[in-house]
Amino acid sequence: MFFILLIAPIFTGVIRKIKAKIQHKIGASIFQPYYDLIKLLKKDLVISSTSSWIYNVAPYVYFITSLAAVMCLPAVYQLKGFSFYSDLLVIVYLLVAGRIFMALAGLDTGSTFGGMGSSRELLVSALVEPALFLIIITVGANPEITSTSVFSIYDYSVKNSSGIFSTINILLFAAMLMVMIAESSRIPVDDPSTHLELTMVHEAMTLEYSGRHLAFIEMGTYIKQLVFMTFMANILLPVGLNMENVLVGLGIYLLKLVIITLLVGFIEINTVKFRLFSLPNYAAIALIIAVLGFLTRFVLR
Amino acid sequence: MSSNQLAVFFIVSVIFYIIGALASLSSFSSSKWSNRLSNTFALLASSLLTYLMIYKLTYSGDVSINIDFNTNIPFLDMKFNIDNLSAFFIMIISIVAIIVSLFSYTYMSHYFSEKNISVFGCLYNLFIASMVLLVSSSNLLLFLVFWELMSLLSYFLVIYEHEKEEVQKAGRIYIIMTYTGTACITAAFVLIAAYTGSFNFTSINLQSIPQGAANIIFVLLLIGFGTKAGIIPVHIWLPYAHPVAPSNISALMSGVMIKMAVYGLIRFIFNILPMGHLWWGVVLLCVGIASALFGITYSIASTTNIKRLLAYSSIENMGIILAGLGIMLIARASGNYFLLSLSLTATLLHTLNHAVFKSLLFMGAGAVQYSVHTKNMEKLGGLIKKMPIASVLIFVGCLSISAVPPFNGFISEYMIFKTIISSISYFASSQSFLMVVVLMIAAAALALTGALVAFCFVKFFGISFLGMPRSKVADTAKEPGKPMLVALAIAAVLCLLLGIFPNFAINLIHSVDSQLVGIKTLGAALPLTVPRELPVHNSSLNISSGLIAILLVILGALSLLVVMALRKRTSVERYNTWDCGYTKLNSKMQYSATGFSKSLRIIFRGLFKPARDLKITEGVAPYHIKAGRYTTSTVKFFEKYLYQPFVSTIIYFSRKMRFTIQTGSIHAYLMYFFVIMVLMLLYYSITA
Repeated sequence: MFFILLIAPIFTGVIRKIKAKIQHKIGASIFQPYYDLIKLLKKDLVISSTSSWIYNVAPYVYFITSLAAVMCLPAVYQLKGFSFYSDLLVIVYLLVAGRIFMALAGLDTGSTFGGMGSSRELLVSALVEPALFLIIITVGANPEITSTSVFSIYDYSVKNSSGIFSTINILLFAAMLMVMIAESSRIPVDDPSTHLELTMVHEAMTLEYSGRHLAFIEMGTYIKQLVFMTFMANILLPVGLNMENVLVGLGIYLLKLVIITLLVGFIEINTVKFRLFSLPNYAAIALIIAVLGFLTRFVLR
Repeated sequence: MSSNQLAVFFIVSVIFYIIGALASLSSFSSSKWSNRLSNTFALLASSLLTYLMIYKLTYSGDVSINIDFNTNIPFLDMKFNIDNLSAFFIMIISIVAIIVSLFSYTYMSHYFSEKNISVFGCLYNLFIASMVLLVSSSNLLLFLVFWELMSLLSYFLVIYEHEKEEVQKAGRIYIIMTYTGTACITAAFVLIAAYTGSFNFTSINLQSIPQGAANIIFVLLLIGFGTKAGIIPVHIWLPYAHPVAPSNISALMSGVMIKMAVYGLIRFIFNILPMGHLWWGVVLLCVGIASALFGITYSIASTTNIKRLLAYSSIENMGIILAGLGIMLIARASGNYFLLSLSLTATLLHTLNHAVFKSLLFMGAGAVQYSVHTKNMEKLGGLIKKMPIASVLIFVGCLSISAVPPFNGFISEYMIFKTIISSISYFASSQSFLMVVVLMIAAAALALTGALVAFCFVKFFGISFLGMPRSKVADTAKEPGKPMLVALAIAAVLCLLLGIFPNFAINLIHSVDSQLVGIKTLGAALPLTVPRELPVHNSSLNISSGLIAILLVILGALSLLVVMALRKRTSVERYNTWDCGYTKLNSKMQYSATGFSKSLRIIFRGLFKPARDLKITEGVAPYHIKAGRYTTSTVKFFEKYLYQPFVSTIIYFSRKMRFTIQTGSIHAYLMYFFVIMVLMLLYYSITA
């Protein structure tokens, strides 16, 4: 858990660095997100006078549910953690819980932007939800697993390590990448670095927050991003899951995460933010790739 | 308790309902007393029934409670048989009835000076009793009698505020649709009786219905019960009738009455009809997911009325339940008993959960209406500060329906997805690819539905309870009375308990399951305190919602510690919401319910055909706007493209008929008689 808390922000830092490098800029240090978090935690809070308890509770709920979700997915095979809830579906529902609270908080302040952000955020996540579920189902409904339990899936991939780079996994990986970009509000879907009305999805929702509330939200977002990256690294790319040495396993895990980060950074550089109403197409592409993965596994064998 | 004792107590509780009805009617001079009496008796009877049914499900195994009264009316033997399935549904009815009766104590008080409470109390008790007797009757005719009674009583309750135009229209649509449904059910029953020669459930011989007739019966039952369940395209009465009924009645109707259709489908298709084809299940599944998706999109995009939003959401939930039933039939047709019992458990659990949280939400809407006197979301807002306790309780309902762990909606939706995953994996290994594709579409559609439910209830709660009050009435809202809060609290606690300890409910369902499916999937019941593995199958359900709750609490406590440490160093300031430099942020600048759902309306514009109309009165210059009026509208798809053409065709032909057949000339009428008589005589002489 502390490990996750430690490593989660760095990937955002890495993405920013990669973007800067490709644009021939120097860019901030990859540890900049940590500095930001620490600074935010030290700052005073300004709370909107129209808000209620939901506004105060939401950052923590968002943080806790993201953390609980990432704890469903152990980094290496040996760290099996909590077997009572390590289930892929539980991850989705936990993230939904956090999202509901954040969206309500966006409405709670009575600001002109908050509601817009909530509405858009919920729309985006609803659009990619079918693709996400299809990916989970394709992984879980494999007749040799028939379970969405993370450990059954880990056990299966450790035993059948030959088929890692199969068509199915590549397709699912691509679909998951698109889902991840949408869910962690990254570029073609949302621009996390501006506060411009036209681009705002996630940022509009959290516009009123300050101080430690904002720190918890940022942290929640980093962790949420890590949930999807770990999913891609360990479930769709299960290389080196079962290393004798746990530290080597962790190293491989981190390496995989960095590769995914590179991929995300590369995509961010080469795309622009889409219009809100072209997002259904984006989601449809993700869904179709997931459907192809599903069909490859179950029908076109 | 033996089966006979249970039967006696069952009769006693039904008599309580009848006493309640009569007592309410007899104290017509005092609204207060008739309200008290009717609710007290309903409460007593329902509590007794809840206890009896939980006792029966837990301890008496597969032994049914039998109550027989022989009458000398042919075919109409008063045979009541409460097996585990009936007991489960009686339990749902009585739990919801307890909560709603408590709620009614104060809720009805705002009708005291205007309406006749004693008639309402009488109808209310009889309505609950009719549903209890409906699920316990074991004779086709008796079933039909109580079905009819239930529909009629609910009709009278829906039109309780009959002086309003809107209520009359809703009542008209409801009664027409309900009779359409009943007609189909009657036809199906006639067919069943014709082939089996018997009206009693127990003596109906499964094998004697030929497959062709069984298909027809299936379709008739699907339309008949589907009308009550509110599946598309026969759902149209539901979004009219639920909002206009008094809120305690909408809680009962949405929480319980539409579940009678689920009971009917399970009882007749599952228990009485022979094995059936795969396509039965596929049809049910498709209809279910279509209703789910349609219901929830309408719930978000086309209404700002809180009760209509909840009514559309009921269509969505019934869709999910029907999809579960569809998988059940698919599993039965392909002989997979594990899948059968899994889907039955998931479906029944969702039925129970929906009954609890939907009645909570409807009562919550009632509480809002009671204190604010409006159902329009655009006039609400900021209620969380005016009615803090009620809004927390309603919030629990919203979280439950959005399947947030560890509330109860989560566990049943989780199980439904588990069911789909198990069935995909089963059909993939048995090479039936068409089924795999169908189930894939169902899974994707249900996932979308699930996410849209969250959207819908953020809209519901966020717009009506958060932000700034959008009207004067919302600003002066007050907490509703104590009994109302207690009722809401019981329902909310039940949501949490069913979520944290789902094993209690699942064990009850399991006795339904073992009786209905005929196999036991689990040896011994698990202790209730450790909901470690759900008792359906070892490998298919592997989470413990109780422990998830504990984990979330621990994580919460840890982050609270961090906050405590930081709190000393930082200060908190309360200030206005950021208003972009404009100094008077007012409630009109907030996002409205219409605005919140606009993006969805645009994405689904093929379905909604949104139209807007902007009328501006200009002042001295083109940009000086004196007044503006903005109206939006959406199209009710099925009403416009299915019902309206149908109705206008009927009217067209009726009009034609009137001029050609009903000419008003006695001679012509006499000739009709004569021709028909000749035809009948001919027919008789040929067949004889």
